[in-house]
Parts: sequence; structure tokens; C-alpha cells
Amino acid sequence: MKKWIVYRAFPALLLWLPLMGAGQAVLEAVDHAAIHAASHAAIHAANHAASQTANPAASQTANPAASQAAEHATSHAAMHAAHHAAHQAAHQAAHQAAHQAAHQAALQGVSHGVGHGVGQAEPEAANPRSPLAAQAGHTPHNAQAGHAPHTAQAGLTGLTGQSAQAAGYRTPAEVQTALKTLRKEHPREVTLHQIALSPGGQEVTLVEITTATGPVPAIFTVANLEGSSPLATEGALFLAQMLLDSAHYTRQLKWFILPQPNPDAAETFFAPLRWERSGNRKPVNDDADDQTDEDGPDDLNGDGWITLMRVADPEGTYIASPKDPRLLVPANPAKGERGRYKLYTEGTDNDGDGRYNEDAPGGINPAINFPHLFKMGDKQAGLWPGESPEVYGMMEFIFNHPEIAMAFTLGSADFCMTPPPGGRRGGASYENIRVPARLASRYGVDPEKSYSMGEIVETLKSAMPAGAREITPDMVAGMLGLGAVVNPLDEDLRFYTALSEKYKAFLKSRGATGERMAAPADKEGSFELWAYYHLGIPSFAMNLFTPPVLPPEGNAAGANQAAPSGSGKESPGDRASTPVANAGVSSRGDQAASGPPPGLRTGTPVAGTETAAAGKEEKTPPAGRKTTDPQETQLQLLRWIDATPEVKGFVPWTPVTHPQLGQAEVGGFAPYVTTTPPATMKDSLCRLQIPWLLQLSQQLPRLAIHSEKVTPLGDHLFRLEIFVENRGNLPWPIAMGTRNRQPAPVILLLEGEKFQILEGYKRAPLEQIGSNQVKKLSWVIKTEGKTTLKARIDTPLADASVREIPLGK
Amino acid sequence: MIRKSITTILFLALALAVFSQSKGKIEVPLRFDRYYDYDEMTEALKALHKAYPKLTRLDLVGRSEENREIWALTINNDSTGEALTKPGVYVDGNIHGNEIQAGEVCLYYANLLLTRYGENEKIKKVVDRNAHYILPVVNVDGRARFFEEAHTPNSSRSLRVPKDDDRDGLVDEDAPDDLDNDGNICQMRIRDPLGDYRTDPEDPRLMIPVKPGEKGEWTLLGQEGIDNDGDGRYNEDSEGFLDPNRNWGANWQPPYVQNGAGNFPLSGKGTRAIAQYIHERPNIIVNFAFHNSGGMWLRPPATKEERLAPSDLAVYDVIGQNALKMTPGYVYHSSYDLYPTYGDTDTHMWYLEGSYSFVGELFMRSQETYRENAARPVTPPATAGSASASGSGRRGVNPDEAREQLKFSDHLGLTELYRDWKPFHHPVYGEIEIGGWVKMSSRLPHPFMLPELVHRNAMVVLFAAEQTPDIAMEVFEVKEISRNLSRVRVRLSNANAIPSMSANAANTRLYPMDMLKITGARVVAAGKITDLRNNQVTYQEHRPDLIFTSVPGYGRVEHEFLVEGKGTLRIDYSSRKASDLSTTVKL
Repeated sequence: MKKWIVYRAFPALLLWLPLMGAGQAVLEAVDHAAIHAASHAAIHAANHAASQTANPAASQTANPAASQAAEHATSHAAMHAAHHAAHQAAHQAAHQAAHQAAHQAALQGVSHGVGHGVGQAEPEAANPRSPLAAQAGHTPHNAQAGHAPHTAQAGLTGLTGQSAQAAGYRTPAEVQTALKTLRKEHPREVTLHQIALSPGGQEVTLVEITTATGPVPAIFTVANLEGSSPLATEGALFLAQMLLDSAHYTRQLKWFILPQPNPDAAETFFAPLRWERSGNRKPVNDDADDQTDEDGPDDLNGDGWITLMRVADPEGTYIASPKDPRLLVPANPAKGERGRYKLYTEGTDNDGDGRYNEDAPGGINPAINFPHLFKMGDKQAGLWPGESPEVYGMMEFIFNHPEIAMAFTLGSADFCMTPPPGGRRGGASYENIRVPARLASRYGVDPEKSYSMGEIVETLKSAMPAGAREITPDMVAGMLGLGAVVNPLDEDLRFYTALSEKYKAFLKSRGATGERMAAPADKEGSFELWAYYHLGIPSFAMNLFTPPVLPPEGNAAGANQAAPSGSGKESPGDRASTPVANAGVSSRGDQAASGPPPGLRTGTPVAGTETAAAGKEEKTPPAGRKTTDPQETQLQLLRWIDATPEVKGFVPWTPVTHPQLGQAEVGGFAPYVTTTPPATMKDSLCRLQIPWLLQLSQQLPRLAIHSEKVTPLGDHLFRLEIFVENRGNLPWPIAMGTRNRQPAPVILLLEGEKFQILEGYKRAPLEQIGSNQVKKLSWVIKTEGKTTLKARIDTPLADASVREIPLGK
Repeated sequence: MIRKSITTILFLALALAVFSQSKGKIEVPLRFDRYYDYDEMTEALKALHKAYPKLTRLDLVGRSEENREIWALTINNDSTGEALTKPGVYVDGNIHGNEIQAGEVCLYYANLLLTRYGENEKIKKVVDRNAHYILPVVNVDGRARFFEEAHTPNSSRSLRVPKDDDRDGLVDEDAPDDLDNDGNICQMRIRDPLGDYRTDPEDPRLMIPVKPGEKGEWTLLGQEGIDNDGDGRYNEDSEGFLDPNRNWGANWQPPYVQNGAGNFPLSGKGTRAIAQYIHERPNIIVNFAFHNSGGMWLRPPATKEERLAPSDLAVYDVIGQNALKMTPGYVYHSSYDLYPTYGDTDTHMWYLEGSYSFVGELFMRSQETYRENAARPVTPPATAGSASASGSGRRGVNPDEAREQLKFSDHLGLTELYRDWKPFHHPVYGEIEIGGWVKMSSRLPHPFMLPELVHRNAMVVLFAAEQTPDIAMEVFEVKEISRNLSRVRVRLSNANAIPSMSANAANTRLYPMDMLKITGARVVAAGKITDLRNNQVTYQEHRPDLIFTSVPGYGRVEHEFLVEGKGTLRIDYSSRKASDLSTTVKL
């Protein structure tokens, strides 16, 4: 009980911090909450110290290249200092961190980097006396200033901590305003596109940013398709601001950024009643009864959150975990355990059908409405890929822009830290193809034998008349029904792996050395998978926040050495070992039934938990996609929550009288706890990680004509060789793009007069070109007297690189 | 020069004759010994609507890539209920632009229902009992251009969405060319002693493959055309290619898995509008998509991964097996047995709209007979191991069949189906010859055969309409079982083959099942009678006033309510696909 008071007083504490001396602030914080994260104290101390330096730079807009020291102080503090406080000598650590940060910031005079990076604009803005209050207006997050008083008030009056959590993140309406402001302030660089209207009637707005004038490659960035990750939206806006602060990354690049593709779900984060959901507002009759959206969850304990209910029941299958009685784990009859509880999402049976919360309001989850591995039959995924207008609008836009050469997803999955996992069964093989008997005779092959794609294509070609349409592998694959590629191609895993190593080094260089819980697995029907498999372009997903992993009690010593999750011995396929992986963002359905930890994502209604549990088989994860012990991940999560008082992440089980179930207890993990850190951390998290996207953008292929060589062969006869170079670190297309033939082709075009091509083509396809590679194309040309040819690269991906080549005398 | 012009004019006249000679005024009843071009098709639909304004409704479903209008005609007798309250029958055709007779089958079905309504009981029944949605031309651009432009029997299939088929950075830049301006894309051949073919000694218009070691006479150069983009290939990037019947939502796969899929599901403007039109008519329970050719009735599934529930297969078979007899020579099997398809209308309608879904592949060339006994094959069946004589494989063309087809063209087809080889000077190949089967051949019946084709196939649709669920509700027992408690037993029976809901739709919880609801008294318990004679009832635990059920084809289902008190009860049966019913019971 005492702890709760401290939690609720916490925002108030923050409010006053900047006014205190740094050391005193730390002491205050530690005194009031012994396990208080040192990060915040340190940060506030740093803020204060920075404000005292009164450097004119403080009034500048956020500079993406903030000093190393500030980066170190903030990122380290935000992400990893928590366990210093909890498990080392709390006072000492806090003092050290605070002093270090303050000292360095003051020395380097980078007040802004600290003040902004830490993102404490809200409490400051709420206090007009704060010297930093005015500065808040310069950050990309200033729209949020209006929310700050709420924060303060909530803290002071003892309202739930949840509204404080929402404050600091921008609502869909505020995101719209922010985009319009960007356009207004940067009319030359920024273009806005309305690409769809959500079922809830909200505009889906895409921002285009470039300073380039000619054709350049483009990067498509989408954030928070799930709607449950407001941090991802902030990340996208942060990226936009960085691109506008410096033209370095927009001179040779075009950016399409979609910060809020699912405004309907995103809006629910700010609703008074909080439960984590991803569906848009298309009405869907989930339980196929006589009413639609009639049985959503209900807040029985009046805390403003939807968590779980446990009910003692003779048929119960869950018991309290021996490791932490707050957690429920399935009883193991083989070990002599007997179930005690049934587990439900918090709520009543509103429609009297015996099931609980099985038809909550809301519709299709755009994050899983894309065509690759689309889950037909899953109501949340929609009836068909692209049924939801947000997704249709995105796909239409993307196909209208063939210059899009890379895709970024800010959301739950993470391909930056760990390459996209393989291990799915049933992928198409081009190596061992059996031709069904009914086609074998037509193809002229033996139905009992296996052939390679190359052999079949050759066989079919020989049966076609001269000059006929080319036989392509995709034609053959279609006729034979070979199916889709479902695992990343080996050649592509090479660059994914190399870049993930670089990313880890990048994070380390910026002071982020602690371990964090692994990101959830990529979801079937997701944008990030679609971008790789169907567009055939490099697709990088980034998860900006998962809770840090703290060592168990009494094992603090090793904590500092912990490497980021996914490094070291973990193989690419292992990354689903993530705690949150299986909880997914399913806002309805049978989460508790299908193996993943019940109530980890408690905001999620576990629709008809008990009903669904019966008769549903647990799916074995495909080989190479391991899952860890769900209990272990929940324990990790609890350790972090316990050590981080400003995160009100777990609701202790409290008794309620349920109208249908009688005596029940409500409790469990809070909604959004795994996706959304306190808003105070958002800037430091963005500042730490978003710049990696800029680094990735520099990997794109850069194509140009390197040189040419003319060899006279005889009378007006020449061999022309043109060398095309790719100065980027990625091939074009990548292996998947070569396979699906979707990326824009690169053509070398010869123009001019008085010449005839004897060998080669006027429009010569480059086909694939490797990273940092030079590729030769050659022609034999006959001229009529003296002439000059123009050789030009023709592709939507690159500015025309033109060479004039004189031939003859 | 003059001679050449004269020949050109002659050819033009000949080509025009194929589809213009039978043209006449469009008036109801419509004629079916002719083909309707796109504009005429629209005109014909409008004429039907004008002639029967009370029975029809004409909807502009959407527009195509080239802004042509896509029309659907609804036939429904409003005096027997609104369209949405009746089992819906949806028929479309010509999703492949070149498969034009599919449009005529749809048009004929509309014409038949309307013109014979009031004089034929069978027709009256389906018009009064069902809602019929008829969309004769899905690929309006494809049909319009098939008539307007030179084509092969196989081209103009695609939607008009430009695509870079040969990946040279240009779209649709090298289509075939009508070199001799006769309105057809035919074949090119060149004299070549090293060629693979020689002149058929029995009919000099034909060529037969040379045997190993034999001297050749001809090399086939493919479709009529030039290398428009100078890349050394001929006609390799023509219109599209986006196959509208691979562009639907269910089980869609991208173009590298299946050529022509389009960029993403329902990326076609018209296909998306039509999918929406269908989705807004959830009463559709059976549908036909007409194509050519080959003489086939196809049903789901279209991939090896999917399968039908046995009860659903039984329903398909009732219609399929009857269809076989109504269209002699056709075969009936799953779509997958032909080849795997993803994103086809059949799969979409079946899995996502819960409609029993058929594809009719209209016409087979074996109907072009020139022999004494049509039942006897022109040549003995191919022996085992030899190349298949059927199918479209080049290797498999049986010379006897080709000879007969030519005779058919000569003597029954007014020589309109084949273009004799004529010399032509090709810019690259030099002296070549152009000739072969014309656009309006091969996959299309000669207009004189069209009336029978449209009738037989439309009658299959009519048969399916007759099999849509016809549910009767009967309260067969009202019994007081205690002082204040009555037992009410209700039987729902279906006189027809198609159930009120497919097993697949029920299994996947695609939409709410039929509902049986009691109002007017307190219902204590409700359940399904599992064994009437032994009084076995399975009571449901919740919501006793509402039972979810479905009625099997040619079958029945019985339910029981335990009701408290006295008075008048109202029992309502409602179904998404079958017609709603209600009755009252006095206790």
C-alpha cells in the first residue's frame, strides 16, 4: 500500500525536481522510493545542470548529432540504469550517474542534447518557472505540451497513473496537426498525401520529404500499424524532424513516412478505458452471432484498465506460480499439480452467451492485413488482404512509386537487431521440382524424377517458336503451383546479419550496453514481411522499446556485462525466444489458449479465454522458431516493473464480485506495459535508435556509369563496353527481388544516330548488380561515319547518369 | 499495288462479315445467333431493363481502367419480396476479355427469365423465388478491344493495367501487330528446308511436324508481328498482363508465384468494384462464372492444399452431375484438377462469400464436326504414352482433328474461321507467309452454334437456381408437459439440394448461422432434437430464446423450446441466404 502512494506521488516529484539541486534531487528520489530508477534522477539532475549553463544552443531545434557524452548519459540512463539503482548501492549509483551526466553536459555545453533527449518537456512545461519550459516549444514534440498539465494534475490529485502514461504521446489529431505544421514550415521539402480514410473516418496521411529534384530512390517508412505503439509514431515523427533539420539524408533520397497508418486503434490508447487493441473501427461480428461488437471487456475494478480475472474453479487449469505468486501458470498434472483458477479477460458476459468479451468493438488489424502469409479465416486479419482501406491505400501508393527501394517498419518486430527468422515450412524450392504426370508429357519430362527450374525452363524453351514470349521461372512456378517463398533467402541473410552486427556496435558506441527483452516475432500478414517477400526490397523492422532485462535477485554482478539480446550465441532463428513474442498484439482471440503466457499482454481481452481454451490445440512452433518458457519472460517483466516505480505495470490481484462468476479477482499486467514506456523515455529512445535508420538509408544501391571502353574492330566497327557501378552496400535487386522480379529494372540505354547494334540491345538490362560492384555490359556497333552515342542509365531509382561516347573518325 | 489494295479490302470485308453480317437491331426478345460487342451488350441490358422495368434493376457497378461502365442487371419480382430476402443467384462472364460468348450466356439467361416469365411455370418459379444478379461482362475493356482490334483467339484476356512483362523498363511496348490489316493476329511462317514442319499432303493449308531425318519445309515464326522495341524478341510485352481471375482476395498469391496476379488482391479497378457489389449482396448462395473453353464445369478447390467438406462436395455434385448431362461432352471436376489457381473468383466466392461456386468453360472444339456420326471420334483414341490429343499443348495437335476443323470451316463455317496463307514481306524476316485460325475461331462457336450453347449453359444456371434452399417451418408439436410449462417443437425442412448454409461457412464462422427465435413468452430451455423417437434433446446452456442452426440440403433439422406461461408465441426463422419465415403458436 505504501508503495502505491509513492507511485502516485511520483509525477509530482518529477515536477519539482528541476527546481532542486541535482544531488538533492537524487537524494529525494531515492529517499522516497528506494527502488526508484536512477535514470530519472540522473536525467533530471542533468537537465537542471544543463539549464544552468544557459548555452545559446539550447534554443536550437533538436540536433540529431548530439554529443557523444549526452547520448551516453541519456541512453545509458534511460535504458539500463534502472538496475543499478535496484541492485547496486542505490545512493551511490544515482549520485554517480547524476554527477557524470551533469558534469559532461556542462563541460560540453550540449544542454539541448540532454534536455531534449531525455524528453522531460512535459513536467517542465507544466511549470512556468522552469527554465526549460520555453525550450519545450522547439522540440518536435511540442504539440504535447498541452497535455503536460494533465500529467501534473494526475500526480498531484492521485488519479490513476495511466493518463500520465498517455500524456507525452500524441493523439491522432495531434499527429495530423504536427504533419500540417511540418508542411507549413517546410513547404519546399514536405508534401502530404492522403492515402486512405480509416473506417472510423480519420485521414491516413503520408508525409513525403526530399530535397532532391531528379529521380532518386525512396524509402517507405511506416510506424505503429498495430495502433498499440504510440512510441513508434513518435519515432516516425522524430525521423521526419531529423530529415528536416539537415538535408544530408534528403539530397539523394526521397522519404515517404506514414506515422499513423491505423488512427482508429491508435486513438484508443488515449481513451479513458484502456485496453490494448489493434483493430480499426470496421464493425466485425467476431463471434458470428446476432449482434456485432456487443461483448467487449468491462472494467470491473474501476481502475481504468482492462486486465485479467482469475476465478477459483474446480475445473480450473491454472495455479499461482511458485516463483512469484502474482503470476499464473498452467498446472502440470504430471508433477502432481492440480489447477485452481480459470482465467478470463476482465469483463462480464454482456450478451449472455456464456462467453466473456468475445466480440469487442473493432475490426480489422491493418498490421496483419497484408498479402504475404495472410491468415485467411482470422477475423482480425480481415476477409482478404487489403480489405482494410488503410492497407489498400498503402499498397496502391507503394506500387505507384516504383522508386521505393527500401522499407522501414517501426513497430513490434525487429529485423535490425536480429535478421528475419526462417524456419517456416512449405516454401517453394526451385531445385527439386516434380512435374505432375498430367503435365509431364506435355513438358517432355519424367514425372517420377526431379528437375531444377533451369532444366524445365530450357525444355520448354526448346518447344517454343523463334521469337516467342520468353519462358520465365515464374510462369513455370505458376503452372506447377510451386507456391511462395516463405523463408529469407540465404544471400539476403548475409546482409541482414552483417547489418545487425553493425547495429549492435552502433548501439554500444552510443552507450547502450544492457540487455533488453527480445522483440516480438514478425507476424504473418505483416507489412515488414510483405515488403521483403512481395516487393523484393530490403525490409527493416525496428522495435524502439522492449523492457530491459534485469538480473534475478542476488545476481546483480553480471548485469553490466549483459549483451543486447540477440547477440552472441543466439542464432537468427532463435529470436522468437522473446517474452512478448507470443502474446502478439491480438486484441481478440484465444491468446491464453494457444500457449503464450496468459495475461502478459493483459490489456488484450483474452476473448472467451475459458471457452476458447477447450478444444484448441497448441500449435507447435515451426522448427527454427523457438519459444522460451513464458513464465520466465513474465518473471523478467515483473522484475523490471518492480524496479521501475514510474511504470505502473502490474495490478495486484484484488477481489471483485462478478455478476456471473461470483467471487473473482482482477489483476495482471497493465495494458501497453510491454510496448509503451513512460513518455519521459521516448526522446532518448528515439535519439538512440532512429539515427540507425539514417545509417541504413546510406546502404542503398547507388548506380552510375563508372567508365566506358571502345575497341575498334575494323571499318566503322567497334566493341563498346560500359562499366556500371553500384557504390552502395546492398545489391540491386536483393536476392528476393531477383526471384520475384518485382523491383524496378535498371536499363542501360544507348541513344544516338547513325549507328547499328550488331550484338547487344538498345535497352540492355543490368539484371542484378552486387554491392560495391562494377558490372560490364558490351555491344558490337557499326557506325555510319562519325557519330556520338549517348549511354544513359534508365531507372526510377537513380538520376540519369549519362555518358557521351564518340565513335569513328 | 492496286491488286494489293483489292485483296486488303476483300480481307476486311471477310473479317467484318464474321461478326457483322448477323447484326441487327437490338430489341427484346434478344437474338442469340450473333455476338454483341461491348456497346451492344450495354444496349441489350438497357433494352431488357426498359422492357421489364418492374422485374429488373440495372446497376452501374463501377468503371474499368479505361473508364468503361460495368453493368449488372438484377432480376427480381419485388411483389414476392425484396431481392436481399431471397436466395441469390449470381452469374457473370467474360472476366477474360477474349472469352466473349460467356457474356452472351449471361445475357441469354436474363433474356430467358424475362421473356418467358408469365408463360412458363418453371421460369416463373425461379423469378418469384430467387434474386438473380447478372453481370455479363466483367472485363469490359478486354471485350471492347477484342471486337475493335486485331487479336488472336487468346489475346485481350488481360485487364488494361500496363505491366512491364519483359522487364526492360517499358510497358506494353511490344504487342503483336496486324501486319496484313485483316483484323486478326494470325501466325507467321517462313519457307525453310531446315524447318520442323512440312505441308500436310492431305490439306495444303495445314502443316505437320517432320519426322526425325525428314526434310522440312517451314519454320513457324510465332504470332503476326514485328519486334517493336528492337530487343530481338517478338510480341513479348503486349497488353497487361493482369489476369482478372487471379486478382481476387481469397488465397491470392503474387505474380512470381502465379503470373498475372496483379500487384495485390483486387488491385483491378473493376474487379474491386465487383467484389464490393457482391459483398453487399450476402444472400448470394450459388454463382457461375462463365469462361471459354474446353467444355468443363469446375468447382473449388483450386489448390492442392484445400479440400471440400463431404457434405459440401455432395451439394456440388448434385449440380455438377446434372450439368454434365445437360451439356454433353463437358467434364466436371475441381478447378485444381485443371491446374492450381490462386485468387480466382471461384475461391473468393466460396471461401469469403459462402456461395456454391462454379466455373463454366464454354464450348469445345470437338463440337466442330464434319463427319457422318458425331458420336464416333474422328481418329482412334491416342495410345498410351503418346502426347495428349486434347489440351492446348502445341505438341498434341492431332492432324486429323485439324483437318476436320478446316472442313468444318469450309462447309459449315462459311470459310470464316481460317485465313489462308498469303505472302507478306516482313521487315526482318523478308518473304514470309501469314495465315491460320482467326480471332473469332477456336475458342468461340460459330454464331450458328451459339443459340444452343447459350441455352444449354443458361439452363444449368436455372437448374442451380431451382436447387437454392427452400425452407419450410412447421411447429409439429405443442405439448403441455407440466402446469406452466409447454414443449414446442419446430421442424425446418429443405426441399432442395443446397443447404441454407455451406458446411465451410459454418465451420469457419464466416457469418452468423440461421436463427430461430421465440418471442412472446419466457423460454426456459432450447435445444436440438437429436433423436426424435427416443426424445433425445441437447439443450443449450445459454440464451434459450435463440437457436443457431442451419438446414441441410434435402434434409431437416428439429428443435425444441420449453416455454413458460400461456399466450401467443411468435417463432421467427431468419437466414442470410434462405428466405425468412415466421409463425405463431397458441399455448
